[in-house]
Amino acid sequence: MANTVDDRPQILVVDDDDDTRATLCMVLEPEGYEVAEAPDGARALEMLREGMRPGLILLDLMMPVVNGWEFREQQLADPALADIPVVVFSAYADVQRTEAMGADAYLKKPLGLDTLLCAVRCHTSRRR
Amino acid sequence: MDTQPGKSYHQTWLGRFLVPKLLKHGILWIGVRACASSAALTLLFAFLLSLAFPGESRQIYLASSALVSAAVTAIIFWGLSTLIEHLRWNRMQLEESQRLAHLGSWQWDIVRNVVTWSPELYRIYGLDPNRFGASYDAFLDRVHDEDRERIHSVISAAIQGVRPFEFHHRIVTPNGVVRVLHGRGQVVLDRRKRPVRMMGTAQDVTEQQEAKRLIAEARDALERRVAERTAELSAALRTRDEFLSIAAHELRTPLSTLQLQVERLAAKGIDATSKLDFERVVSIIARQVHHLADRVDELLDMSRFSPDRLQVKREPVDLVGVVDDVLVRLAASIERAHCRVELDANGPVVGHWDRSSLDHVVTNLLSNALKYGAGKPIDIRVEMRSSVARLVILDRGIGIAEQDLDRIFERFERAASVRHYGGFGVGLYLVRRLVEAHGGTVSASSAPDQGATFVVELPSGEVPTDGTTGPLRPRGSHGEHG
Repeated sequence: MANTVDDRPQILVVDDDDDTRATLCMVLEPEGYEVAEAPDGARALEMLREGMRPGLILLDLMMPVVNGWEFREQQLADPALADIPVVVFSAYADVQRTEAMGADAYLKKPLGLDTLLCAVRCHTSRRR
Repeated sequence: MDTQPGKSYHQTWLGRFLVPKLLKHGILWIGVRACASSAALTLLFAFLLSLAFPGESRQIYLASSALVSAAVTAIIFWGLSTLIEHLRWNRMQLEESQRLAHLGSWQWDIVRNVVTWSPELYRIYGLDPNRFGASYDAFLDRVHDEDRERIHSVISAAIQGVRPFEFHHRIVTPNGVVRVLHGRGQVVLDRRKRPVRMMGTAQDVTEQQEAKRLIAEARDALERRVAERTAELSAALRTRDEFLSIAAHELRTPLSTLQLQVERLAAKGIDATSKLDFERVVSIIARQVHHLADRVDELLDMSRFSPDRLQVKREPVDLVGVVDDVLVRLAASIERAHCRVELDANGPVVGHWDRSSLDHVVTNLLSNALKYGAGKPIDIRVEMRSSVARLVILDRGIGIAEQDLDRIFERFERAASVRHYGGFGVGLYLVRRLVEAHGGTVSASSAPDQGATFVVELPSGEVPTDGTTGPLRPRGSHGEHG
């Protein structure tokens, strides 16, 4: 692999379902992404405030503790985090409520592998 | 008062000519016309007699005078009797009309404070005309306590302002019956424009008012019912929409993982997959398939135990035996959850219950305990206390917050987060429905992180004389739950 660990784009997967996170890791890592995981919005915010700056956040919506909408609100309220691209990846069906979040893209579960990888490629920022 | 059979009084000469004349000109008219006629008749008669019998003038005058007097007397008598007849007829007509209309009339001589009522008004008030002290105060005494002040002020204002009035008021009859009257009246002035008399009518509208009240009540009740039903239907629709949204979410999540894993395997090829990776993928796929199967079961249960289909087929059932069966069937799940389950029972606990329902209740409560209390011991206790069977299932899992305890038995409610533990949130609702169908209760006690205790209490149930109970419909064996 040509890329070293340091210049691989990083993706933060925020989802409360263990198998979904594991699957996304298995799908994204071979494509050259470094994947970090958070089981809910609270943990994700914690990781970001500790200094993590992923190229993309893949965000589920219905999660315990801090859900996807609350996470996005707090992310936008923090100038240091507001610019990180967010792609929503959820089974939640209310399009209006989801679009009001102002995320970069909305992917609805279930979804084909190509579509997922394409969206991730489009929206991941290379800036670390 | 027909003067001729088949002919109305008004069609007779009496009614058409004489009575209107009498009413128009008064009784004096009869006298004056009679005197004038008699004078003319006397002269005519005397003249005719003098022609017929010349030279007998004195006798002629006497005879003609006597004849004329007799004629005038007869005419006056006839006229008076006609008038009296007419007045009687009129009065009867008026009374009959008032009786039919439940409408009485009155007059009040303000100066002498004497009140005159029509017979119908006495009937409406339930009073004896001979005993009623006919005065304004006596009238006010009959008015309902709550209306008296208002009526008095309306009448006083009408006298002062010399204007007609109209009101509804209640009266109380001597035997305590309350009637509603619609009163109208007006003030009569004397030549110096002073109010001296008041006259008016009072109609008994109790029945109309009662009918109006009943109609209004019926309309209100109908409107309330429509509003309630609309609210129920809207709530049902909302619940259905929420459920569909949850169901879609619950089915999409495992499908998403399955799709990504399968496509990944297909793209990568089985040869390029390491053994470790393959095992991880298979275990993820197996879990998601299991999850989907659970959701489908739950959907079927919901339909099977929906309120309109809930049936209870009672037969002698040992609750301990049911718990044993469920433990055997859920052995794999118990192992997966790493729970040690202990059953505490002193011999069989037998009652007349629906086996399939009890199986569902135990399965559901135990599955819940495994789901929320994974890795911790679970205790089950079954006992019979004074004809009431008690099933206690105690886990040591995440527990339930106090504010959630009341609603966990409602449809589509779940204390834990939607995604974290899966499920549609109908399990405990069905448990409650099934237990209640047996005349029993289910309750939960808990505190967060201290586990939850579910207690089901079932009356042992009487054996009905025909050997069965309630609206019956045989259902499949409990094996269907597995």
